Amino acid sequence: MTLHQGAAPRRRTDRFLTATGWMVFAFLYLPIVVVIVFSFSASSSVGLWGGFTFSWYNRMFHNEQLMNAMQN
Amino acid sequence: MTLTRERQAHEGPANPELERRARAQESWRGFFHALPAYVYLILFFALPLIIVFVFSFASRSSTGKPRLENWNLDGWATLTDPLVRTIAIRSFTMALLNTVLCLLIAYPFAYWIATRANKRTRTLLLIAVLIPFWSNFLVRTYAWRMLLDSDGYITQFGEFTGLWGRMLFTLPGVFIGLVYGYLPFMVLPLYAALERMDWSLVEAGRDLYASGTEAFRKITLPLSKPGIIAGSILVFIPSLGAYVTPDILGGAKTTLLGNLIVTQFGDARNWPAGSALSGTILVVMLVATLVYFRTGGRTV
Repeated sequence: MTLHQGAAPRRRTDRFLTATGWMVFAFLYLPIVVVIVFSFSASSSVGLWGGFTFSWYNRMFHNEQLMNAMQN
Repeated sequence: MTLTRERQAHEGPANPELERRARAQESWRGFFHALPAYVYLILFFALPLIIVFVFSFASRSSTGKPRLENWNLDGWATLTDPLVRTIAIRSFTMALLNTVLCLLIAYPFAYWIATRANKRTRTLLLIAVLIPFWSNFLVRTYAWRMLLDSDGYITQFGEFTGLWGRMLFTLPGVFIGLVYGYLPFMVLPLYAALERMDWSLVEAGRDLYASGTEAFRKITLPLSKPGIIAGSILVFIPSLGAYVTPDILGGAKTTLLGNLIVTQFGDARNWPAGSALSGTILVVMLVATLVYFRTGGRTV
């Protein structure tokens, strides 16, 4: 379906809509980003940045139980 | 009806007896085709509900273990407790407010997506709405807990500018979590309604000197009503039973219907009361939904 020219939002409305749109996306992605970022944190408590590390991933892949569970 | 036709081809003119038999066979076949669906619905939908209903009349042993004897109405009697009424009203208000907030945020958002000229862009944006929901709900709620923490940037920014203070374990915090959790349920039906809308009607309205606001109010809004209704139902019903979010982000300070039912089955060990409660909510929601569809949502 193509949009009819007359139905396309006016410029000011469109700007408002676009701003809303990106704000909602920011809102939806904020928690996910936080989870991903802190998966690289060396500190084991959430909210405290302890430097960059892959150790959690290392531990995850060496956790036999978890890997077994994934295969099932 | 292939069977009937085949037989006719083989045996010449239609035999009413044969035809009747073929039709009976045909309807049996239909029944067997639908059998998996029936079995599934009975096993996983009707049966649990019946069990809940039966348990609401059960009696309890001294330790609170439900016993399927000495049937009584004690479970249902707890519904008259004024405390239950307070909790119910609180839950309804919260669910209603959550629905309104979701609608206010989701409408411009869905409108924005639906008015993108490129079909690919629309699809991509819609998928982008769903991606966050591939991860566990609990994990995302805990992420919010961290974000809203007193030491977190959001609270610090609010305190710095004086716009808001503490967020975690307050009502606004709970609502952030609730809106976050149920927004997609509002966005999707709204988008579906707006996307299939005939925009030439808006164009015609504008040609007839309707202002933008007027065209929206008289054309777009009524045409997207099915989406509004469907979205509202999809948000209202689960947020009525929400208990994870209020627990984690609200600090379990206020009891809602969801928490109450969980407590009845868990700590309070009062299965009959919990069953009666959930049964009542179910019936109320069913009736409310039916009334809603009958009055406004014929086109859904």
